[in-house]
Amino acid sequence: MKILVVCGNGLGSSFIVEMNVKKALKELNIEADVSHTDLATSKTEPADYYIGSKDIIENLDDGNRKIIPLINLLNQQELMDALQKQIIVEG
Amino acid sequence: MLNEIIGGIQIADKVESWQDAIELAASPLLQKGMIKEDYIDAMITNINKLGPYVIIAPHVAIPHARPEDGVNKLAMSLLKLNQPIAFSEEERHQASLIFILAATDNQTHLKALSQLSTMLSEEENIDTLINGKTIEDLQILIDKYSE
Repeated sequence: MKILVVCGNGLGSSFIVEMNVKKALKELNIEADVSHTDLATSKTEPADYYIGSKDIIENLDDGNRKIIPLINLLNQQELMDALQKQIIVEG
Repeated sequence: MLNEIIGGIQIADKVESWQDAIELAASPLLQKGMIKEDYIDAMITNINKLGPYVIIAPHVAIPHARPEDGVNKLAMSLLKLNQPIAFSEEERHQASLIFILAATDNQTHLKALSQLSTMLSEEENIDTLINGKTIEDLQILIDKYSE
């Protein structure tokens, strides 16, 4: 499974979220390949899930991609809940 | 690390627009020659283009652009506003803490950024910064997360 963390420029928020996603996946016992990139690159990069700030990630919502929007990028609980809901419950 | 990178901490009562907030927050970096004027324009253009995605947590904005947009030296600055500024009409896009990030490449700023995110992941730290009355109040907390 591949999870792509997306931000506007690929060097600010997506790095922070990438760290937090790795931490959360470990706690949830989910194996995944996590990397981060900018919005423009992410449009041509296939991944199972795209995660990032709601303001950014909605640009990727084309009806086919699975997106995970976050309001507070630093809130670990929000991230855990979102990952759990998208990956474990909805698959 | 974080306190070596964050220079130019300012407290202001209010600003007229989010563009003014970015300009004021970045001004110490411009004066010290760490960024070029172009970098400020690029940060503003990014938000105009992509929306206020730089608000990474309630009340906290981290405006940034690409190294090639005009960064001379890795640096951050902080502007604390006593009256929050709106980045959009939505309530969640109000910010009181503006951290400018000027990175020179994709790597060297990551340690400072992770210390910053550790600090900001505790909501009480955000409150401490917002309620800080003096630059020293802010500096004390930043120092705590800089080991």
